Amino acid sequence: MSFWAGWAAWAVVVAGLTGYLYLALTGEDQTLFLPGETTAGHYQIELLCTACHGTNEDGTVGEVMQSACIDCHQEELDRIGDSHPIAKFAKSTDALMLAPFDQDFSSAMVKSAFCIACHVEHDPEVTRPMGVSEPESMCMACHSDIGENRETHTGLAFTTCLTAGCHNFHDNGALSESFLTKHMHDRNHKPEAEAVRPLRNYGEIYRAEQADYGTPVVALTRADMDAPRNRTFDDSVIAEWESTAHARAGVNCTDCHNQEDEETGRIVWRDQVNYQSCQDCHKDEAHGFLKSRHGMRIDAGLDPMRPELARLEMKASSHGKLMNCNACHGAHTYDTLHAATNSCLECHDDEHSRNFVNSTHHELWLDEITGKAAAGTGVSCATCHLPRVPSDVAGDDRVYVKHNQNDYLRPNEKMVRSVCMSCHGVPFALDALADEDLILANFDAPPKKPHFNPSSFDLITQKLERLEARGRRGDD
Amino acid sequence: MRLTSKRFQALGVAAVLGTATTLGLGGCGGGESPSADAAGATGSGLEPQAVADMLHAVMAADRKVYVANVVNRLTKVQDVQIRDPETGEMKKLKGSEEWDQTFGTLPLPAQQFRYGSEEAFKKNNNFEYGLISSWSINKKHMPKSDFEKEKIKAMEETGKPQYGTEEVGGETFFVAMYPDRATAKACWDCHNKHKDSPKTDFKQDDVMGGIVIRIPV
Repeated sequence: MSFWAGWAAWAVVVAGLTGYLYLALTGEDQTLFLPGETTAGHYQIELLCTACHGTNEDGTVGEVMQSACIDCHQEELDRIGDSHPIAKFAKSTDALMLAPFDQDFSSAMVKSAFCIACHVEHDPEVTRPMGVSEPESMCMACHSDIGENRETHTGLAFTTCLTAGCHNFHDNGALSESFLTKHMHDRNHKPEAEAVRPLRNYGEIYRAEQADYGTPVVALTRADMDAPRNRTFDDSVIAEWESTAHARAGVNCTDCHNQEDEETGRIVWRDQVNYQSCQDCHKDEAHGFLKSRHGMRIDAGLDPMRPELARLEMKASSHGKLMNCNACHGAHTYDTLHAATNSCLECHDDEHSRNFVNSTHHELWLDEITGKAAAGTGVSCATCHLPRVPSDVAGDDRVYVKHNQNDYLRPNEKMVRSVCMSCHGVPFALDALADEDLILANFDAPPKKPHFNPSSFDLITQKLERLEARGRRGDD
Repeated sequence: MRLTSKRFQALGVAAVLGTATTLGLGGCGGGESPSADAAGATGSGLEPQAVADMLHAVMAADRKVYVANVVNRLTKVQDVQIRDPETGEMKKLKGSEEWDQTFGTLPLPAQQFRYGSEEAFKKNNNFEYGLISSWSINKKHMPKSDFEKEKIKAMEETGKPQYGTEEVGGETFFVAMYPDRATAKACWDCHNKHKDSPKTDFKQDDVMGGIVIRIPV
């Protein structure tokens, strides 16, 4: 190679590297700067460093902000009555017990009330399910003497503490001893008449409120449409709107399509409606959606989630779909029955989802939507993962759909109280939720084995028998 | 980052006075009242022991009020009965460890105290307090360090508050331990009957455990 050819090659290499670096620094794709793969809970927002990290004075990425964890997760921790709130480790003697289990800083971080003491990100090699970065023996830091204090636990290996159906770290709402004692003799299935989920009641509450205000709800027809005259619509759009609860509740075109222009502050018509319009009336549903796997990117200020970005298996036909309210509810139909199952299965293509149609739950769902069974008796995807839950909303006992499926997903025992118990006994539910094969098969048969051997109920029985033998009462 | 000792003292006094004023409470609950001159104000501020004594006065007062005027009054004196919405049956109102998941139950006094400690920690993690006992139902509340084990024995024997300094994790703390006595039937009844209680013969005025306050010095 000649002297000049060498220089030219060098110049090309330098220019190429410079260009690459420039694009990497300023371009949309910042993957190059990820220090390691993020967890399943955070990968959707991993390229927005400031979603979790502060910014240093010189503009570089700073430490993880505890407030970022709190903003997204504290609400659920408060709701479930967190078994291990970080303040429980407030005493120095407690924090010190964790020292032998430190990777490098845990006890100090716990003492300072940082979630990342146990949930380090970007470190897949040490990260276990639920984004836990502490070793499996972590429970032993404080509970190594459990065998001495509880005869029933003598000899149990530390690897069994967090076995499905035994203990969770944060949410033991369905696993506490007294709760299990109360439900240890539950029947597998509730009587049919009792196995019903509550039904949404926002329509009733809204009508009653409007009547109280002296402005009773009047159902609308196409003659009442208030869209600007220069807008034209396909007749099917109008027919869809006319058939919905929206039209029946007096919700007109401009109620959704008129939005405030961010720049001018003027109210303008927009063809495309976003979640802000929906949340004017469906505040709690929108709040749940923004905290969910479907809406967390919007909540962080990013483009909506798309199925092809997911780590779960998604159907190729769904790629490109933007996860906003309309993705599941349709633009004008707002068919909640469609949203409860079909919308899910239009995208989700994992084994559990695919097998839904083979399950008894699906049979019950078909019976409900075809009118063979009463409303609330069917089991759709949403029945379990986006359930209708009675809640106190501004003083009203309102049943609405919880749109944050994280609250009804993993660890799956968190679904026992809020969902499974509507129809099943606790032992049956815990056994089913502990059986990985049964989960993949989408519960196409009853569980055939206990969640663990000995099961939590065996241990309680042993304990009660021992107490009785000693002439002690079983108060708790 | 920890506050300096003087800043902490000022904060401690403000917190105590603020809380006491808000609640309109004075005096001490189910524990011993340390003498006024046990540790007094100095020209430059309060000694840790004085701060601890004041903190304890508020804690013990709140604890006594909750035990006597809420739990004991409703569950023992009035024996309140409530209707279970699931079964329609009348049942006794009682304290329960799972009060937040169980209809018609009250937080146990020990939980009420711990929740207060956790809330205080959220506001200010420069001091620590909690309950410990040689006969705790939750074994996590047994004395842990050698210092706590030694002091709790002395406290159980004498019925008097214990003070000292202890080093934990390279940090030195002033530690005060105050006897926590059985002040109401609800206290000893529950502990004597609980299936996980290691002691079943508590009676009125027994020292059931201690309130421990740690202040970094």
